[in-house]
Amino acid sequence: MRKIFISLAAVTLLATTACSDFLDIQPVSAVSEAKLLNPAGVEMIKTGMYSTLYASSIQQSLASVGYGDVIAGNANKGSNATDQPPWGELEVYTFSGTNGYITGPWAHFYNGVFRANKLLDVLGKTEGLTDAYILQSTAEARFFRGLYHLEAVMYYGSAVPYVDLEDFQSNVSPLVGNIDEAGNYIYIWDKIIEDFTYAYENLPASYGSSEYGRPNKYAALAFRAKTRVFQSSPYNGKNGTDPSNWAAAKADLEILMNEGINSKGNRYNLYTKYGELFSTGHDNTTEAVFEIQQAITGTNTNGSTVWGSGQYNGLSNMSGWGFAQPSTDMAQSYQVDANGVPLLNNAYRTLPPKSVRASGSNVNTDLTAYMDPRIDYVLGRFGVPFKDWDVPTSYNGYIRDVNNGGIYFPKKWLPTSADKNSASLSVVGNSTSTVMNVNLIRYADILLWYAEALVQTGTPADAEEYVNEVRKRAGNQYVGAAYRVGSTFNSGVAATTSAYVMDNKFDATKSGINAAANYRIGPWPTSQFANPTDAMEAIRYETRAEFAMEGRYWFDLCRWGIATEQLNGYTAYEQNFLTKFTDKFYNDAYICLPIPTRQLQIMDPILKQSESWIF
Amino acid sequence: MKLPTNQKGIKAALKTLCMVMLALTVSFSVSAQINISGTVTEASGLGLPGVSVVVSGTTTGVLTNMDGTYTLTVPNASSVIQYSFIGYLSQEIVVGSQRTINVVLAEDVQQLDEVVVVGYGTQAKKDITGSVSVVTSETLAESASATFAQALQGKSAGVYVSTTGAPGAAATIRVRGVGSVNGSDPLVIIDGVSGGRIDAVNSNDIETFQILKDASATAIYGAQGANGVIIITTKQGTKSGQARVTYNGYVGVSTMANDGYDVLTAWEMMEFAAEGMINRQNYRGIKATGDTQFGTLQNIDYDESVIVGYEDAAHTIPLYYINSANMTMPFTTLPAGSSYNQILTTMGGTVTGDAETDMNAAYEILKAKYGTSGSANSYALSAYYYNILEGGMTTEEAKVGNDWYDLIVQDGLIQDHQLSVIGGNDKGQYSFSFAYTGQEGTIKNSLFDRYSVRLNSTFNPRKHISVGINSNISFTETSGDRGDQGDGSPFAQTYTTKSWVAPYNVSGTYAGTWNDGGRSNTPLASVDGGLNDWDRNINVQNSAFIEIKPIEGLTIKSQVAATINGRWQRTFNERSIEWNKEGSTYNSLSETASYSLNTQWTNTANYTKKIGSNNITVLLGTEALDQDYGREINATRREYLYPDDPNTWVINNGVTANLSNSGTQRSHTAMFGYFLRADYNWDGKYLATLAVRRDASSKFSDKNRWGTFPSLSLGWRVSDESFMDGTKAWLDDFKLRAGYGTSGNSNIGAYNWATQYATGTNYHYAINGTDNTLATGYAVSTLGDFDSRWETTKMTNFAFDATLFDSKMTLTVEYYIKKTSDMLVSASTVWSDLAGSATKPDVNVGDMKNTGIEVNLGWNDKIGKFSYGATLNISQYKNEVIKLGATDLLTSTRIDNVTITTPGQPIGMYYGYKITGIYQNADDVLNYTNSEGEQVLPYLQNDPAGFTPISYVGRWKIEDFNNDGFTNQLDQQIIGNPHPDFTGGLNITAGYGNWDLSSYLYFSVGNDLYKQYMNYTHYGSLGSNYVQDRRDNSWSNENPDGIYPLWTGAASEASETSSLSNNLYVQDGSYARMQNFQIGYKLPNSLIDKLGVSNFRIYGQISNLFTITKYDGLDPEVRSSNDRNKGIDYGGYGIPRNYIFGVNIAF
Repeated sequence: MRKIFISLAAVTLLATTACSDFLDIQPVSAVSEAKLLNPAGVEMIKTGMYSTLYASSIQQSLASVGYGDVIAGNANKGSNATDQPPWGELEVYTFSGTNGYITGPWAHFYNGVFRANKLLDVLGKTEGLTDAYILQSTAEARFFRGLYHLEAVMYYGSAVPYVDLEDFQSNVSPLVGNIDEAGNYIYIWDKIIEDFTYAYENLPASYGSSEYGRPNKYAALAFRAKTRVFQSSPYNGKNGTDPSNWAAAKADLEILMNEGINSKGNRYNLYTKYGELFSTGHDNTTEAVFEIQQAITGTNTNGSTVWGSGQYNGLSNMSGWGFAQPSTDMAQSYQVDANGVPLLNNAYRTLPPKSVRASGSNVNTDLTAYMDPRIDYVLGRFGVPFKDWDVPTSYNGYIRDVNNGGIYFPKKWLPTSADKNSASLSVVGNSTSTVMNVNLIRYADILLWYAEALVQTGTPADAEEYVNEVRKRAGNQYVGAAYRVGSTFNSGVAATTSAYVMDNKFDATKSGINAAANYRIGPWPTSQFANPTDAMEAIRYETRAEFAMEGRYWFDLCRWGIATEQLNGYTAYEQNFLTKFTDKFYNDAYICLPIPTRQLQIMDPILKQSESWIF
Repeated sequence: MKLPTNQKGIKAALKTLCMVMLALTVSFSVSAQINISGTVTEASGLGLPGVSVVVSGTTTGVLTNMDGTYTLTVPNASSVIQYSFIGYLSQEIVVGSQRTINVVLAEDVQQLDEVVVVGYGTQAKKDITGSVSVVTSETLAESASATFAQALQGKSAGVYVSTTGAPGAAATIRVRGVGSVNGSDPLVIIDGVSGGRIDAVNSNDIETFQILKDASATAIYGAQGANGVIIITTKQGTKSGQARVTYNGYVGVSTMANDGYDVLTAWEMMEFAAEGMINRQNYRGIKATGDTQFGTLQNIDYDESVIVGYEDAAHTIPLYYINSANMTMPFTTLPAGSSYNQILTTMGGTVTGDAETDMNAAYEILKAKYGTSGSANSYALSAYYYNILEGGMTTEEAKVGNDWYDLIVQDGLIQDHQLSVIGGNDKGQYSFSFAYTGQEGTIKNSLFDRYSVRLNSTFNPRKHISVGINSNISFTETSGDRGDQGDGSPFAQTYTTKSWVAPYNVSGTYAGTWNDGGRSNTPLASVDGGLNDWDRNINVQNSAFIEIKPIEGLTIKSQVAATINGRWQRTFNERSIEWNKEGSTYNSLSETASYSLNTQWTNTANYTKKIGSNNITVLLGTEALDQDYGREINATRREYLYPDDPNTWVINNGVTANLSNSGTQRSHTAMFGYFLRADYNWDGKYLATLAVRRDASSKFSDKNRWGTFPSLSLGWRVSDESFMDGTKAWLDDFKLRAGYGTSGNSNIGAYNWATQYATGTNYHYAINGTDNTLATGYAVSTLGDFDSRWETTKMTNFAFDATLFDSKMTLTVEYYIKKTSDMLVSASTVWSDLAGSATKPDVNVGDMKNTGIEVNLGWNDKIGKFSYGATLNISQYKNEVIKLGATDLLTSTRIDNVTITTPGQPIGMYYGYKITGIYQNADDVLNYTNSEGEQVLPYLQNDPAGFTPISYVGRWKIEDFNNDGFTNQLDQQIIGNPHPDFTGGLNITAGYGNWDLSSYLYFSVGNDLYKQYMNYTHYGSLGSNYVQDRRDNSWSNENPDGIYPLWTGAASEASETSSLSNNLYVQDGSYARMQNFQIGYKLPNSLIDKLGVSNFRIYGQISNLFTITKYDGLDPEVRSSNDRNKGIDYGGYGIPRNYIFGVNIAF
């Protein structure tokens, strides 16, 4: 027996001595944090923070057409009725806190906050970093922390958790809620402003050629101004807002207008041509305050699709998915009168639509009607060249389900046919891939915010200049009857001698012939700025026309406190064309999305549903 | 009853053991005085090899050889010869004057002496105190099936198996309910090697099959034992000195057991679309905007006053006016629904007005323009015109359009051939088999092929030393539809693709589903596209052992095993521009290669000692496992010039632009454990087993790496007590047993403890602002939990075993309580989004409980030449989630939140809204009240004045579950239970002379199924076709009892119709199925002896003979690999019906 136990013991011993090494298996293809706590590693962690600017789905897109445009009635969801039903709930206002399109952005924004805090965390524990590097990197991290908290505020209201470094370090799942011990909401405006202020004070004014993608100090200031604009806005009296902040917002905007430069060091200015802003080769222009730097390496589409790496806004004939189709309401809103001025008070809704379905699958468009030239950069109309692709006349191939999505299709962010033939400008196989940058704030924002600040601080007449400055630029370019690539017409589109013209009331020399449709644009009359109410009406129209399909409008409607009025008017009108809008109403209380139900459950009791969603 | 050619599983397993014993104990003392010879046979006359023939009271003895003959020398005429063989009643015969003694051994129907393979050893079945199910190889052999998982279904109480109808399909096996939210697959041990591939084992090779169910049985497997353990041993060689050669084979045909769904034909769909437009006008006052395929309507009466339009007189023309064109089947469907007149007009033809002439002219124009180009954009005829112009049908025949189901189903050839040779002598034993299984599925181009070679050998170089190798090499290939749940399979496309879509367009390429024909490509394109795609696996499981018996009763064994798996997959993706939206403009080839290596080293020492009435067995052991060492690499290229020629499908032939490749390493893990088991019994009357295992796993941080899993079970053979003497007449044996033990589960990610950073394109950013350079980024990709530890299952088991009426009847009843604590649940249920979106680890937050009862009842009897038997097993379990993290676990299909896992309820309950009826009219909308009598507003309305009641007529009334007056997300409730009240199997066998019959009935009672397929067949998700049920049972004024909402066309279905989970999806899925019916005939010995054949049996079998169910879907057997999605039926094609003819031959 003894022999047995000895041999058994020997076997056991042999096995166990090998055991501790045997069981120590490290994760493969990943690295531990220890390997990154050096200057090169920290820089890569920082880049990892920037990478959150690229969306992997429409829910993560900071150019949030799914929210800023679809909820706002600029576009409907598109595709067909059974595709992405949760998104469909957004367009008809039946969403709740369990909807994946509500939970998605929340997770993305707080992931952005996580990455920013992580950078701050490693900055504090890495040897060998220079003070200058730490200072600038801290400012970058705080810029991002402010940015993502601001996004969370715009989507979910200003009473949302603010996660600072201490919270981040104290618990892997930070225990930060949105109410104080007495149960009152904590509004986080000031903390966001602190982050942007730090970034403004510590970021460089411009960068060398290898770093144009970073925010400079003026970008930080612009975000601080944006925060203050939102903080000053009515929001139906909620969100802890205060109109007295308009003065501070105005002061920020004035600095930007007086001395602001882009990350390349050039003074801010409106870029000459509106249409070119939405084409490749026009990145980081003088209009760029902060842009997502779209880029392609290999066949990866992560950095080159504005709404996530899917083919959301691609057209059916480009193998795209056909989402986010512009609404009839928005298309109609581009109508102008003989002076090139929009039809106020939603008067455009009383006129017959300019595009109507004809026999078969054709759509006829009345190209003689006067339109703001921006319409044909923003959305696809039948009878108008679709960039250099074609002049579509039938919705086959362009629209997936005309009864669900209507007769307009997305255009602004789609690549040209020429781009599709260049592997460096667009990835084959993804109809929406393009390296054109996506602006999060451009100089036109600054001008229109400033105009608004002037109105709100009692000098509406002064706003005229800035609104018209934005409007005037729109007259500098129009879509020709055949799309021009360089000096030649693209072979796919016949060059024609068009009967339509551009009539520029700002500057007759900018008028032109061979337009794709009749365009007309003229200045808002001075009388429009005689009182705050009319001045705001002009600003709202201009904001919608200028930024359509850039994911802005719904957030503005909410802060202006007019979302209900505007959107119930929209569904009442749009149901004439798409029956899904019948009996759909926007709830008065909704100044933001609900905080995701699941997060409320996990963070019970420190996280409370936002005040506009408690009935 | 007995099937002559199929070896009794347990008996055969012990043949080897028995002979080893004999070899050790029998000495060949020769004092030759009387030479006796003879043959030992079983009742059927078949010679029994390996029977021990011993002179009683001596060690003199021999074993019978292959045909049962023996010669033996005995001391004198008064010697008594003892004939014994496991599984048979021993006989003693006085030699007397006999010189030839032929003995017929009677079968020992009282199988208590069976030896059962338990963890790392064997135990006499009568002494077992834990819960162990034995499925004999005979039972398995009763149905010819490709994988052992399929054969196992319903054969044992407490073991649930579900599979799909695909050839060689994967199976889900659950032992005693659902142990964890993490997946509850049992551990599979093949010849002592963990983690065997179920489909790599040829079921004919299986010798014994045990399922360890309770913790007192599984604790010896410690950390891997929580979900039960399946132990398989394969056939070993014999010492008989002669080889036994057997051939088992069958050929058969596999057919669909259903006819698919009653989808609308092309013409019916057109009429249905028209009905939708008419209803939309009549009920909703909305003018039809026309159908993209069928156009608009003619001469519909409607009241202008209700038309939504413009009041301004100048703009009275509605946007979409109903034109006067007749609604007809479109001539072309791709790229648009066009009439032949439109084709003629737009393509330069002349409209004559004569239908026949114009149709033919349009066809010729299309053919001329696209017929040779092969362009994917070329026009496709509708199926109706395709049938007329290319199929030569009459217009009436053509109206059916395309029956997609008929186009892709087939009768598949199934066959199985196995040749095995088993033999050996004292010095070495071998078992060799070669097998081929080939199964064609009931969907075209789906198949399963397996070639397997097994060689089990044992050598005895020294008296007390044996060494051996068990080796199995199998090559499997699968292709085509795997029958899995989901809407992407070719079969699902038979109901998602509309009947008006033609098979091909005019240029001969596949027609597509543009414009609402369906979601992607057609089922025909899918099955054709799958041709020559494959998924090939080579699985090599090798183990080598040395076994030493240094002293009496002690066995020391060391086994090393290596399992190597290599996998190659090739998929050729054809151009698919014809798809509705996800199509591709180029073809591509993707190849994936991977390998994995699992190694295992097991050392055991087993000591058995009998001291008086005390029987003691002690087992000590260690085991080291290293799993999933390996890598995978994938390459894809595009634009192959000869997509029709598979010989050109190699990566190098694709273009180098846009190529892609990727590679990963497998999730490597290691485990180490020590274990001890001690069995004690006193005279077979008082029994006890104690087992302890201590395991460590690399999945946990070194802080929580070790876990200890003890168990104790006790047994009492009550029938041996003297006070039971009075019952001896009818009660042969009665044993009570009880056990308690713990086992573990670590079914989580390999590196759960580690926080990891990752890089890759998702982490890069163009910091420099240019278009084509990205700076490298890193970020936390996975958060680890340093504190997570074993999920522990504690199980208590009470049972009794009874044998009655001269062993004619057996009964086992078991009751168990199984509690899983520290259940590992994703931290996303307890960590908020403020933790970032890196992958969360699993953390110990949940508890779960299962309780259940299992009954096994058997009856066997023989009346003259007629024998019969029946075995019934019934199992019942009740699962309850006790505790979870902060949130419920919800799962979604294309419908949100179809199941909920929540404390106080079983796992994976169906979740959704309860439909209480249909709003009949506007008053009904306003007067709808909840149980408290308060008005309830329609779905998602929150303003009593803010909606138009009339627009809700014909829509669903939804129960106001929370009685708040609104119907919204808060009204979701549990609407169904996927868990059965009980399941079971009834096995009936009978034999008469050379004839035998066996049948097997499986049943599941009281489980609900979730008819996910209705989302397509009833509510048009993905542009699907509709079924007659939706057409015929939708509400309208004419059909006020209709249960589906008013039909107003696919595009205007209300959101609650198309996207909400509701109780109409849930239906009782109880069923009973005759899974197998077999009749066999054994050729008489007189006939086959001359051929040198010892056994020749032929049989016929029908599997899935019939199913009794009220379920509306195609097949109530719905496999889900995830317990949280149990019973969600996407409309798979179900289990096929097989007709098989087979033979068993032995030499």
